[in-house]
Amino acid sequence: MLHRCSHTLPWSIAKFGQPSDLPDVLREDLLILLPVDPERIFATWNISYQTQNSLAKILGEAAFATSRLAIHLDNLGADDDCLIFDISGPNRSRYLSLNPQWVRANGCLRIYGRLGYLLDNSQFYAITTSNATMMPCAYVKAQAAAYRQLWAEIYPQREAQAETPLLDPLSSSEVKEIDLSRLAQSLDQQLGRAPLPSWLHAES
Amino acid sequence: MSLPSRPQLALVLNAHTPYIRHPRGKWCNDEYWFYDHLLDSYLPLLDLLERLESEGLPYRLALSLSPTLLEMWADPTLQERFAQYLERKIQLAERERERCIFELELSELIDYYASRLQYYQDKYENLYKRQIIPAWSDLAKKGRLELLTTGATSALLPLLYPYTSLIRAQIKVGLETFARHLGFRPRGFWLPECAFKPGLEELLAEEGLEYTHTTPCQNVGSVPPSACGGIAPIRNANSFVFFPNDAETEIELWSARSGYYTDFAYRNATRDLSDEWPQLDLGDFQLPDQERPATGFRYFHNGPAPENEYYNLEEGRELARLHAKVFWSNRQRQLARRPWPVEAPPLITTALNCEFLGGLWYEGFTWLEEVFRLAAAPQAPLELITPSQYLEYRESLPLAVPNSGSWLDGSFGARWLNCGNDWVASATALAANRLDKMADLEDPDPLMVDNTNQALRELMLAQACDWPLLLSTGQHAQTARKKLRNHLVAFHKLYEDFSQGRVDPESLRNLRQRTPIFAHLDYRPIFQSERYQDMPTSPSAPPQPILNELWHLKESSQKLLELCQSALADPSSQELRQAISKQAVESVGLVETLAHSRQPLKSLERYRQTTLALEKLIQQVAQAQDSQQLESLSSASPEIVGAWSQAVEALLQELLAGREEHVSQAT
Repeated sequence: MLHRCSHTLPWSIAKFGQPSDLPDVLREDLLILLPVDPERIFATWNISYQTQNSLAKILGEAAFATSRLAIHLDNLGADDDCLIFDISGPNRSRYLSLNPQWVRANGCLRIYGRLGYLLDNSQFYAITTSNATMMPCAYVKAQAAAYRQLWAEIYPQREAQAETPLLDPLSSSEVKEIDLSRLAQSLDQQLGRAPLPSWLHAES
Repeated sequence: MSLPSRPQLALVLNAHTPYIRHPRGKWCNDEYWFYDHLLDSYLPLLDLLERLESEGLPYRLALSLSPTLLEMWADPTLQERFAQYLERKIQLAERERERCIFELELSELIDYYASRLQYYQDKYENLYKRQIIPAWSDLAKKGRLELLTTGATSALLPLLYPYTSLIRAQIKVGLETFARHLGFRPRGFWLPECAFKPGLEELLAEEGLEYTHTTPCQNVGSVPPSACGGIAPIRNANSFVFFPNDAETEIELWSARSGYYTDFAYRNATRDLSDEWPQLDLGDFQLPDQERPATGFRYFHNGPAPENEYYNLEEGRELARLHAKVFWSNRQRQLARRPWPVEAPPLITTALNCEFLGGLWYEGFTWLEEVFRLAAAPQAPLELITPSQYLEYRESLPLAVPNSGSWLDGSFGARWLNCGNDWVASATALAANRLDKMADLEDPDPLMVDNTNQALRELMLAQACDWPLLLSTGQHAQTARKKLRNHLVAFHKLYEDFSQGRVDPESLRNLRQRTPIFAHLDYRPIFQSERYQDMPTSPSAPPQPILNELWHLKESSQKLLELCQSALADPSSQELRQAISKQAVESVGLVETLAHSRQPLKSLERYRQTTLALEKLIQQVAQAQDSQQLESLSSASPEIVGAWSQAVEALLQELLAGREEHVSQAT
């Protein structure tokens, strides 16, 4: 049966430059959150095949196949405030954009995540939890912008790219990221499955 | 305590080279980084400070020496290769002398390079006897040079969360390596790339460290917001001090648009002999696979290409002295312009990478020497100090903790976490999870201890912040990928040996010979402390076992249902009835086990009742006297079986939901 949460590939897609001989499958369930800046968090995860098989037996193969792999982010400062990201696909990491209302000018935003499966009936089965991480405050970013006007890289060849928001030379046209959300949508349409609910937060 | 009369200036240099060491007999381009830095930056700095010391000039400087650098300086193989590198370069200088004999300007420059090479060769072999670490130690003992250190492999510490055991490993191993080589422990710690996250200062303070350096932006966004605006140092409640690196001086010195080193009269750092004359035979300096490393023979100044005017050494030095005076004057104007917000002497902390001086800015040490001389002059308006000297004013500093950040990319982590290199963070996080399991082994034998130590070593080397930075900038990306792959593959091999309980001593010995760094590393005391921070539960926690138990319950219930259906079809089978009783006891037992440590389950009683009803039905079917009784029992069985199935489903749902609440409560 074709599984929505992994699409057609049972293994993760290696990223550009990633060695191909590193182990791809681990026997642990893991979710790690690392802040990138006040608005974005980098999530990396692993779900063991044992867990996937267990859940398939509990939920039933059909329900499991149509479930979405999701990260449930909770704002530790506000009880009912949460975001759910659909991270279905063969990747094992994603950049998640936070709710702008969460981003704080001052003080500390603490969030933690739960990795699990979201069924079509909106039920969420958590597999593992992440670390609770503190996000940098946005006030620093505002101040940094003022410094940035004066600040430049010390490598001369980087000057030309100093104005571009993304500083990574490898994300130029020679590296094509697979558009997983579009892949997910077209696969849903082909198989006649329910589309993403409107309240499900779109990840970056 | 009386305040000094003059404002203070603290100069801090950070010396670091990533650990690169190839097997014996193999020369590689990336190993040249170490040799080039040693020749262009570390030996000239040592030479400068020894000269000033012999003159009695009262300079002050703080220098961070990374543990990988100390290990490489002390490595006999690398010492031998550096000596060979110097010899090859001297031979290349001779060839250049002969080639350029008729070009007067170039000849003078080549003569200078040749004499400089011979000078440092003589010092390295005859004065230091290839051991330069004792020379640094002697300078530090004289009191004008303050030495600090950094993480063991300069890993970006905020990216190691939530594995505080790995952060402790970086700090502890770094300090132990420093102490082993230099004979004392430092007071200060240089955070790699000034990357900080609140909470790190407590881990640093645990090891007796008293201060570190941050960026102005991190101090500006401190908690609580500091009135210092990122200018003055701040301290936490335990008096751990954070010195902000001054942004204005960094721009004056480092900026690629307007930094001093971009001036036209300075030597161009990129136009090397090997690129400008690609057909030229470099002799023994060329690498075995015809790769042409940078030779360090650079003949042009910074003017726009294709200007072919040769670099003039004296003009460059004169300009550097002038820039030192400009720097000095600007610092006075800077302090006059902004009011100092705390009851402590005004302080400017200027931080630089040591390799920048002598490398990208060839004349940098001339500038530094002139700054020292200006500071030593009578009536100098500023006073040079070291950061630990400023610690005596720490009680006057405001209470705050800097915010998260680093010193690139508007102070955040995009340079180390972006599409080009985030696979490194994923791979090292997964490896860290595995290392946790290796460290959990109780009473390991000595071979297993060595295995785990080597695994920690390989992981720490993979976590160096240099590799993702090189991947991000695209410079030497191939080297970075190769190093990461080698270390991570080695780590996972060691883990596989651990998980099979079978360590290969030969393979371990080979790995150890390949990375003879941190010889005294022992993971056991490091992993005895708190392993995780900011974790509601550990990464490999209970959600997994509960899921398995639920699965067993569902399997058991399924089996019970099948047995009941078989018994209904064949009521005379006593064997089936016994199997049913046994299965029913097992199912209820599983539920009791799952439920005993939690709040009472609402659906448990219903489950018990329906299971008993099912069992009773089976017994009644077995005891049925006639076909009419059997028919009436059979007609009631779907309802009873259905009720039981629903009760099982409800119980599973409640147990799953309860597990989520359990996880929530744990946070």
